[in-house]
Amino acid sequence: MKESRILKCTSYILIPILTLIIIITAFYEVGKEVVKEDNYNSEYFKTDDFLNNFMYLLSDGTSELIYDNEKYNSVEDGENKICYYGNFEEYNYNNIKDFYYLIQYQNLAFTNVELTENTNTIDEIKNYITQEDGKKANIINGNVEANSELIKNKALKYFNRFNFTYYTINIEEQNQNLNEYEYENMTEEYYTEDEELSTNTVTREKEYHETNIADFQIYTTYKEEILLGTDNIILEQIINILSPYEQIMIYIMPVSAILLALILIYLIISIGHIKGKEEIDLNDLDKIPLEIIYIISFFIIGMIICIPVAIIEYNNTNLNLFISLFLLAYFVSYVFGMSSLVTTIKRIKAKAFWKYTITGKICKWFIGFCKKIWKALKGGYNSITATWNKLAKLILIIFLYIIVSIILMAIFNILGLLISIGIGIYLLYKFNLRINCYEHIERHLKAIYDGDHSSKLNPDDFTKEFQDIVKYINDVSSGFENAIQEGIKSERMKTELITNVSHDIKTPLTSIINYVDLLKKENIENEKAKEYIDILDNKSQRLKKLIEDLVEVSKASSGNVKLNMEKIDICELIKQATGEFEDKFKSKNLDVIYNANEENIYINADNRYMYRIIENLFVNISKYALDSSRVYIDIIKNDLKVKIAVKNISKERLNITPDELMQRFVRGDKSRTTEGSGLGISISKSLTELQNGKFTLNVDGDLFKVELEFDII
Amino acid sequence: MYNVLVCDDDKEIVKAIEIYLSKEGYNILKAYNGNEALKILKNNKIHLIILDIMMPEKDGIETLNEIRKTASIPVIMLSAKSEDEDKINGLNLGADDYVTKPFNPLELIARVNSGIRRYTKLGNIKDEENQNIYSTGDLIIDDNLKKVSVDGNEVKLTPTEYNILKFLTQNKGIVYSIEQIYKNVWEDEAYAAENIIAVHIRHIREKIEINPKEPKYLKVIWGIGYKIEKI
Repeated sequence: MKESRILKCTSYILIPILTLIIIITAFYEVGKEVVKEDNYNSEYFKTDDFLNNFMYLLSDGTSELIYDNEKYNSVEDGENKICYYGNFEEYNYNNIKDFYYLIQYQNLAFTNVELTENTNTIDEIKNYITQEDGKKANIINGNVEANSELIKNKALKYFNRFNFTYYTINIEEQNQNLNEYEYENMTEEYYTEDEELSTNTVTREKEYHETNIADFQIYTTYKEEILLGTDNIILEQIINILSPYEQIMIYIMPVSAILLALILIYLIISIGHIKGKEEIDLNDLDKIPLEIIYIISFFIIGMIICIPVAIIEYNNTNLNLFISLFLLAYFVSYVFGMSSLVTTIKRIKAKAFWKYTITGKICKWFIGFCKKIWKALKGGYNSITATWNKLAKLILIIFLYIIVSIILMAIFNILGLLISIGIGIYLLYKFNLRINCYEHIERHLKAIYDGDHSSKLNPDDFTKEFQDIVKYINDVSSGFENAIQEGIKSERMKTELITNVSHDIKTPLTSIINYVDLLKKENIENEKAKEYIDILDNKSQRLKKLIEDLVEVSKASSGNVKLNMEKIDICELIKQATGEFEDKFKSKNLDVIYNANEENIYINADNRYMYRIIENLFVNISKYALDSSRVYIDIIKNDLKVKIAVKNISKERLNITPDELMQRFVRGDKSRTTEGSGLGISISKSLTELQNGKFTLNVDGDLFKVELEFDII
Repeated sequence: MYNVLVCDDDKEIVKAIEIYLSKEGYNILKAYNGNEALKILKNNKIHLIILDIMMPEKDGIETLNEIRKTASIPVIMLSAKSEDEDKINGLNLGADDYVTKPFNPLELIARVNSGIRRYTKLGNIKDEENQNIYSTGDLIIDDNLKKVSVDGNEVKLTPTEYNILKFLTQNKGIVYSIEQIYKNVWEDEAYAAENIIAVHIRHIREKIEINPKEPKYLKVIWGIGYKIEKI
């Protein structure tokens, strides 16, 4: 039941339809009342109420005309004066032009008829009014003429007032305290400035005007069919369309409401349950912060509902447009509203209502933050997380400082401000102390990073918060220092071991070499024995060379070499070295092509080790270069560096990588074991690097290329 | 008949040296540690000592110190210690020569010969002051006869080699670059000197030095030039 897709889909389809029915019914009921109200207004002119008001107005107007005609717009018509009371707009009648009147008193007239060429004089206006169709009530010489008994009676009743005596007052204002109110208040009571009621004993001069209904001529016409109708045509149209179904709607609406309620209850129960899943299923939509969903839905629904409302407001009469826009707005609102509702329900059911809300997240963070501060203030954290402790204290101090400052300033004004500034400066000073500590630590760490492990931080230089950090840093740098010393020591020990072992090997080797030599000099007939002795001789010499190279490579690679750096000319050195190797090169018919872009190029190096580097390279060339090939030695100087490139063609195929070649005990041709130790390149590389040079080896096919790079001076 | 004392804890090495030197006509006395050597030295007329450094009881350095207290006989250190510091140390303590193990027997013989000659014929050279005769140590250049001799043995040089050697010996102790040598010897601009000088120098070294790789007289200062050592 809970997991049925069909039921859910049906629900989602039924909900808007049922809701629509309910809305339409409600709309109809409300609309009906609104239209009724409007129609009531249009009938107003036919009622006693209107007549009463109308007559009262006219009678009021006539008295106004007599006393106060000065305040109206007026037109002089020969001896007559025509005043305009204006339209009866304050009584909110729309089609006032269908309602005319004229009141005349002696040579004064009062009318609402618009003055045109044909209505310039009182008589013309009279004609205009009397010629109009409609209900009329004319009062001439005290006689009421009306085409309706009702109006006649009313008119008689109201215009009897004109029999009263009216008078104008000419006040001799002896008491200057009199207010204008007293003017209208016809009693002799008045209010003094102290707002006390008192009676006045001023003498007055009164001018009496006795008026009678017979002094007036009143002409009125109002049309029988004044159609005001309703404001809203669309509303009326809809009500008209719906009215035949009124009875049906009254029955359908409660049914729809009950059904809707049932469906909603079903949905609330079943939402979020998916086949094969125990817990409430939350999709991506359900993980968008709820506030965002609400705001988006609210705005879209609000905007789209404005469209049909605006149509009603602006009295557009296109019913079809209204209906289509209304339905569009309705369904868009439904989609958004329902989505918001569904996701809200799902979240509540999954007990994740706050989880995916911005408010929830902020609250959670804030609560966590407060908890941390609280815990830190209580000292609940151990020293590793002491930073929190400090931060919490800092926040508390700032907070207290602000409060204290406010209180101080509130109580002592300027003095409080000064005290507060003083405290602020003191706090800044304390704060600055800590910043200095931080900077000190940073500098120290930089020094450690740069390789200075021996210096230590002095704990006395730091405030007590930093004692732990200082201790840790000192321990770490001691650790480094020890490790480095250990490393150096073990490297040195290795070199020493190799050196010592080599001494121990050399002594027996001396005997071997010497006795082999002596054996060679013995008169040995046996050819085989001679051959064996040669092998012994060869191998013992090789062993000797190996041991020497071994010592050298271990010293060079461990940096255990005393360098005597001086200014040397690399070109001179290359020339000297080629001179040394001239015979060897010649014997293999190697053509040395020397090329330097300058005569003298000076570098800082130890001349003996520099020669060792070159010697090793040349030895390699003399051993491994292809016979009768060319050897290129290029010395290229640029702004800061000099590059010595030595290139030759290998006799054998080079089937190993440059990296392998530079490793110890590797030779270009692995199968050959006759001469050399395979350490030459390794020694050269180490020695080059010891002298701050760069050693690169490239193998390109049979081209063997070594490049040395040094800073020039 | 010169007496050579060979002192080494390795008996086979002592024996091998004995074999080589006996062939050269020297009389060999053998010692296997420093004390023995000193004892023999006290009781015999010795012309040259070959002394190992690493020995039991009394090592070569101590022994050398003892010897130098009383005698000025030539001492050749023979050691497996081949570091520069070892050599410098040995020579500074009064050794006349330093040979590293494993040694070339011919080189050792040559050095023994040189030592003996220098010791026995010391003071015979009186004409050092003579004009046109230049010398350093046992290297003598007689410009009158155009003859060069090392340890009394005449050396045959080509005219160019002779000129280079003469120029350097005349200015012994001073380092000259290839260019400067070219200018002075050829009396011409060193335009394409290249490595001609270097080749000549090597040839000279091969002729006048016992071990050209470790020259005594004509030294190479790599990257700077050449010089004749002032001895």
